[in-house]
Amino acid sequence: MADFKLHPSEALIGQPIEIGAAVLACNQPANILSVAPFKGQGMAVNDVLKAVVKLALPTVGRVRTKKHVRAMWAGQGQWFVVGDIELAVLAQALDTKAAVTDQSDAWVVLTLGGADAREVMSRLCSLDLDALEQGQTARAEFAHMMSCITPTPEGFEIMIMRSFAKTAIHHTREAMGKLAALRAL
Amino acid sequence: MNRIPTGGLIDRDISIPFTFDGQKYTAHPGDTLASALLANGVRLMGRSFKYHRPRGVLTAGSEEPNALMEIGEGADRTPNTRATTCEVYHGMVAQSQNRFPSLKVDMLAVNDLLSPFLGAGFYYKTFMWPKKFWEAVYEPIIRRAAGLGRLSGQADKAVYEKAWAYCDVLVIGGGPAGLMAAFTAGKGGAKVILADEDFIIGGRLNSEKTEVDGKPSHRWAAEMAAKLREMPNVRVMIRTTVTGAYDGGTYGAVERVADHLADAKGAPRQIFWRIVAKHTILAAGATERPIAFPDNDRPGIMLAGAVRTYAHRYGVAAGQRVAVFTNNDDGWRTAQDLLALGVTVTALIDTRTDVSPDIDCPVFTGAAVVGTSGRLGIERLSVRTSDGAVQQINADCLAVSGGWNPALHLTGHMGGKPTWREDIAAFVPTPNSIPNLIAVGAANGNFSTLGALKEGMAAAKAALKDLRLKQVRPHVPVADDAQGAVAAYWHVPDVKGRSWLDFQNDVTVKDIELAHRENFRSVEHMKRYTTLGMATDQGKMSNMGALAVMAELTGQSIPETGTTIFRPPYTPVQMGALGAGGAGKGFAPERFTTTHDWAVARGAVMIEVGLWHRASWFPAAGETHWRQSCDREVKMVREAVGICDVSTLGKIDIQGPDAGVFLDRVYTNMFSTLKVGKVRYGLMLREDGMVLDDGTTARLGENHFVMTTTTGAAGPVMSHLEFCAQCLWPELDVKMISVTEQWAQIAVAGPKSRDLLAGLIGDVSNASFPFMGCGNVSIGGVNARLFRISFSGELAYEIAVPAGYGAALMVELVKRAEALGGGAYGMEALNVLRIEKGFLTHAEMDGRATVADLGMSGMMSTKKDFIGKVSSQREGLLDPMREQLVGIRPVGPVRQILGGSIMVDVDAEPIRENMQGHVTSVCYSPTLDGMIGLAFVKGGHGRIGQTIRAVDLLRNLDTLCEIVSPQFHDPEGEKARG
Amino acid sequence: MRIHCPHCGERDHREFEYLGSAKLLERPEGGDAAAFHDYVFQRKNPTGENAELWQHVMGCSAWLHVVRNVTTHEIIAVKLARDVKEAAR
Repeated sequence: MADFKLHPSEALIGQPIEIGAAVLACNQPANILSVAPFKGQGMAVNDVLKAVVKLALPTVGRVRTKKHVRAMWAGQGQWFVVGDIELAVLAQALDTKAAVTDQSDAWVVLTLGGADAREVMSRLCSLDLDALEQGQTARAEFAHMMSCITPTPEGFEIMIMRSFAKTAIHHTREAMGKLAALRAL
Repeated sequence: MNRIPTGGLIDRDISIPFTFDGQKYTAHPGDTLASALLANGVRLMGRSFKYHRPRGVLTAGSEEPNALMEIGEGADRTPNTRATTCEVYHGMVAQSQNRFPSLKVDMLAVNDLLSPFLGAGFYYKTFMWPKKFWEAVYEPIIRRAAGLGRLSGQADKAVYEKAWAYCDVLVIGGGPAGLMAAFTAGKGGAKVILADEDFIIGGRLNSEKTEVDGKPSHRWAAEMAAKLREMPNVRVMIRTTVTGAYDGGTYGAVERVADHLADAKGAPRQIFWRIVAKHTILAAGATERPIAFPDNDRPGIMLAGAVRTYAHRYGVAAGQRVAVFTNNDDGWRTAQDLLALGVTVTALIDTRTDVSPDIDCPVFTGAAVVGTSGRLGIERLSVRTSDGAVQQINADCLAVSGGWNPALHLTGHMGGKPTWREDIAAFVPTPNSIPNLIAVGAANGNFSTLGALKEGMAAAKAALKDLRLKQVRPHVPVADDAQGAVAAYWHVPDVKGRSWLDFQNDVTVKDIELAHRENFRSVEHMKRYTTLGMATDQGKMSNMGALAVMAELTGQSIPETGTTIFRPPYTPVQMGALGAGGAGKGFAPERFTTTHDWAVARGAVMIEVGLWHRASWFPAAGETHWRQSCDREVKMVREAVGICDVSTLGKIDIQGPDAGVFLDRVYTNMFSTLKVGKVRYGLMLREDGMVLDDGTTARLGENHFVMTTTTGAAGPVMSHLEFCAQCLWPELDVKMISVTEQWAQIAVAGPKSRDLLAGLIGDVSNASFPFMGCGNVSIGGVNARLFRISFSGELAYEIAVPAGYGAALMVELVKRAEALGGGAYGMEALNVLRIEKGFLTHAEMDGRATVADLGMSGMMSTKKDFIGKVSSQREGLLDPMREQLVGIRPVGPVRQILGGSIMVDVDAEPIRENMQGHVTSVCYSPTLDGMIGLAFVKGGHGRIGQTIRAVDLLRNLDTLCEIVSPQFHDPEGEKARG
Repeated sequence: MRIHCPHCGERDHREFEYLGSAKLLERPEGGDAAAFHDYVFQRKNPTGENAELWQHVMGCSAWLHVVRNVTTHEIIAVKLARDVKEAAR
């Protein structure tokens, strides 16, 4: 057995991309774990989560944050626990109570900020962005790709599946560029 | 020059140079191309579609049928641009269209002389014989002569954009009704979008000499627009045409962001908006309609309201000696306003007998225009007075008003039919034609300014109430309350000559009479027979007149005659706007594997597989043809070890107490009996018994499985499983989530794969890691999953690592493989390897194949129900003569087989009736040193050893083949188990 | 068209995929060929209201039972298909 070590790939965005009044960056969390409670286990799952990460699962379409961990609804019967929490710890704690999978490498977390973040989003996403309040999160279409969109005080967090991330960044940059050019007219 | 010395909403201090048909002119900011040309004394602006009749500008708005121009040069050239809405920019190059060689001398005007032969329906009658002449002669000639503007023939380099917007209240049109509606809704706190197609807000308030609240109406409009722009909850969108009304409160709109600029500087030229509105207030105004009389299409003959627009908004007198022809009070205004501006009015001709306009010009009541004359523009007109005498009147402009049609088009977009109102002789919108849309003001047939203001406000209040927002009581401005009387009058009767209804498509009153005679009497038939209303104005100018003529002929009322259906778009929309974002990379999202950059850097030739980009082959030094690379890569796997990124296969994590039962129900074979740490190949059917997909599923724990799907079916299979779990068996406790993106999975295949892995992982011998085994391992400090599965037929493994480590693992594996005489292989080699083994892809699982067809009946469990089980046993599907999967090899002098060839018996003619099947997959097999193929052949399983022909009629190849087992290589599967 | 997803709220129809009649919820038990023939192939073709199955593929992934007027495209009611199926038991 060789003594070699595998190293992870670099993030798709190093320095934030600023075009006009919008800034696109990558803000990858330590871990993203999916939690899907089994039948009748919702309360039990919440008890475990409260003990392990001091958080219960939020209701449909919402996000809860506690220090370095966040729990976000991620679809029917599905939540993502995001942040400093290891798969082994959560999988063991939830054992027969919920299906837990590692999604840390499956999603790229982009952030779009700046005064024009909302206007850029309106080019890429069919959501009613004004109706999306802080504390909410939406599974939605983003430039023809599946995504999780969460409003933040600075703008929006856009979770995109890893293989689509380059495409998402490309389209977002294009939209930022077109909007900046429009503003300059 | 026709510019009036003062007035107008133009900036006279600035001159903008432009050219029209090569001639230099100047315009002022605020001008449209039409107003600038009129100001420069240009009346002739286009030629008609069929007869190439000289035409001038008819209107001052987006309904213009005549003054269509080509704007710009080269790739930027845009045809069929309406001069009436086109803002002039510095250096604009405008050209007239549909003429040769020039607008003034158009050779095709000969068509006009031939018009007795070119009446309505002429091409249905004329070009019938001889039949073969249609394609060879007639059609090319017609195509050359027909059409309006020319496309540039180059790719459009302009930038376009699409966007979404949401609002509580969408107000369409910024005239008095729209402004009042938007202001009221905005004050009440609603989120408002006010969209107006014009480049200044105000609608007809900018075109009339009236007062609102004691100030000039255009100033009141400008002040209102300024107030609206200050409200944070109101978005004022100018140059934005709402083009269509769709389901669920969704509207399409085109915002012309940069069409009025010489250089967009990277900004989108146009944005196509999808606006979702809870309430919509249609305040689109009205369009004036012409009256048909002989030679009513001569340049200089314009709508009366347009003449006022040019005078008041653009400071342009449309003529020096203007006559007015009207059937309504509104036409009088044109005469009054022009007189006030010092323009000579040579006659006011009113069709009505019971009116007595008090206007200081010659007045003819109960009279009608029965003819016009003048070369390339009107010089004189003939008036038939109330006593029947005909009198000549000089005029270089004839202003015509036949009344106003509410702009109700959007209310027809969901199939709504308008309602006839006899008192205004016009159709008005039928309420609730579009859910949550209210038409107000002129669009609702309320033509007084005060009426429009009040209706706009009332509609906004109703919306506020429904939205449970604050009720407000804005001040109602003081404004004119005159509605104006009108007496229906569509065309001048008992006249000689052609009276035009559809100016662009050259449809006359006589053409409608012809359609009636030939029994094309329903409006839809009439429209198609005469092409009336099919012009770029979509009948805005012509429909009402034609309907009225047809009504007269059939003795029906206009509402009985009906209307054609208005469909989106309201005005023409450029394909570039509709296709915004869809060109280039926008065509479809691209998916990249974690090893993509590495593969590209290695010189791999990439191929698109669905949305994914995958390495097709990796050319080595000296290789110039893909087959050289592919053959080498295949040999490498068969003889040493090959490395291939297979991450694109779908991976679905399935957990829960009922996971095993669930899999039993979706797969044909049993999975609940699979031991932990083992993998099983499975087939999944559709409920109709056809194969949906195949793949392997590994049992990682008692209640934990990971399923793989084919790359292409990953999405559909996930949806199918979710359907089964949610819609069929919600009682099962099973949870699924895609982990395709979480794991980079890399195949290590070939006799030396075990040696390679021994150096990485340790012992992976048959004893510790048997065929179809799986388990967790650690590689380079990373938790990984190892599967002993083979898609090549060789001893093989697949390693999955968290995707972040995919590229690093690939580099390491390829380095080690190369040290063992192997290396990376791509999709071409992967395909050869699987064809040699007779493994399936969706070329074989084409939606028509059953498990039996594929020769895998043994995988159909009899111990349980599963999706597709019952249907797969239908009588027709059990027919032994169905097309069944076999292998084929050339045995005659022709050694090539082509994919897609049809199979016929050795001595049969290759025609459909004799078809025995088709070839699904072919390759050159370096292992067997020859072409091999997979094919469906009728009764194929019973014909092993027989000969058959694979015929490709398109590529002219006829290959004699032997039918063989599809497992060409190592049919016993010993190598994979080795 | 706008569909009100019980989880996600009202969304543009681009986020949804259409499958077909809600009859697909009623998979026959047992192996009766005639019942399966009816289930797989026979559909009513109504004007007006029709119960359909849609999936919110670009959203929460839930399968939805959508009552829609196929003439006017008005969406009359949307429920989770899972709930409709469970209620039918």
